[in-house]
Amino acid sequence: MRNEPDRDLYELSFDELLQPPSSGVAGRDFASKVMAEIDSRAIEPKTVVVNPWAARLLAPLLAAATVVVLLTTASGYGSWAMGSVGVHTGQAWSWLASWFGGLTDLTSALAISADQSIQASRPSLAIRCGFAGCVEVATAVVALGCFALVARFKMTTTSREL
Amino acid sequence: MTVVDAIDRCLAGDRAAYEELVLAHGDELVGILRAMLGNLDDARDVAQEAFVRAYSSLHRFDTRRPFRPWLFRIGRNLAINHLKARARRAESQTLREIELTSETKSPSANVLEGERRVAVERLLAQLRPQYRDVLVFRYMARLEYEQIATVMTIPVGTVKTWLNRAKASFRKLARGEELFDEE
Repeated sequence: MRNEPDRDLYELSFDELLQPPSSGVAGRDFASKVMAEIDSRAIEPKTVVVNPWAARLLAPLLAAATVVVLLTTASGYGSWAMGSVGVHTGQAWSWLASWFGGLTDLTSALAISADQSIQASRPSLAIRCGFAGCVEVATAVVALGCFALVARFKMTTTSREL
Repeated sequence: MTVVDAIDRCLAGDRAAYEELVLAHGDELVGILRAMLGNLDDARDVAQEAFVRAYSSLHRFDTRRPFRPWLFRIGRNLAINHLKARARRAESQTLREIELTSETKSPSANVLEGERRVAVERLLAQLRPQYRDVLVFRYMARLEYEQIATVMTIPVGTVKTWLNRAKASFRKLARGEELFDEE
């Protein structure tokens, strides 16, 4: 086992050998070069422009809006999609409406209206399914965009609070 | 002026405040990078890039934490990339050997400060990169274990383990250089 004086010597040796860097290797000239490089790349320190209180309000509002948009659109077009493959739209919607309440009535009306107008033009099942798929994808994109916005506001708030 | 004040002033558009930060930490960062890269010119280039990157990311810096480890982490990441690029060019060993051999006049001159530094750099270059880095951050930068863990993104326990192994490896290599009097 190493005794105490030896261990001190051991530590001292490393402290001596690996000394902090000497001054003068990066002086005023170096600092000027750094600033010139920053200028040449036109870099500006990013600043936070969103009011943290506004961000605190916007984040939950956006999150709630995202959920509402996702659920109502999905339910409305879901009922239309079910109708298009044989399930009666009214039945499907009455079940869904009991879930989401009056808020989704508007979506239901829009979906039934779209269903009727599309049915009237007698498109093929493939076209109707394709249309439903496009709507679902668009809905997902909108929802993801909203989530990205929420995340951005959240990050901004965190950054500003530091 | 504290680091936090300087950063607040930088974010408010005061460029002179950042220049003061560069002046305050430039020597240390260049010195550490020199130990990692074994070349002063490369160290200056990488340090310059590190300061530029730090400037553009200043808004992300957590002012509740110390500035130096954050800066060193940026510098270390850039140094690692630099070493990889150098290795890809297959110049690393050759350049290093030429440079260090030309700087080392004779084994007996190791007692002189400059020669000793060159010898230490040569030994550091022979260590595994993670061992070299923990030694540099512990003894040259005088960082705490927790700060080294932050810079290297490893657990504190790993820092201690690597530090012990690094010291053992360094001593083993150093015996041949007569840097330690023991044994």
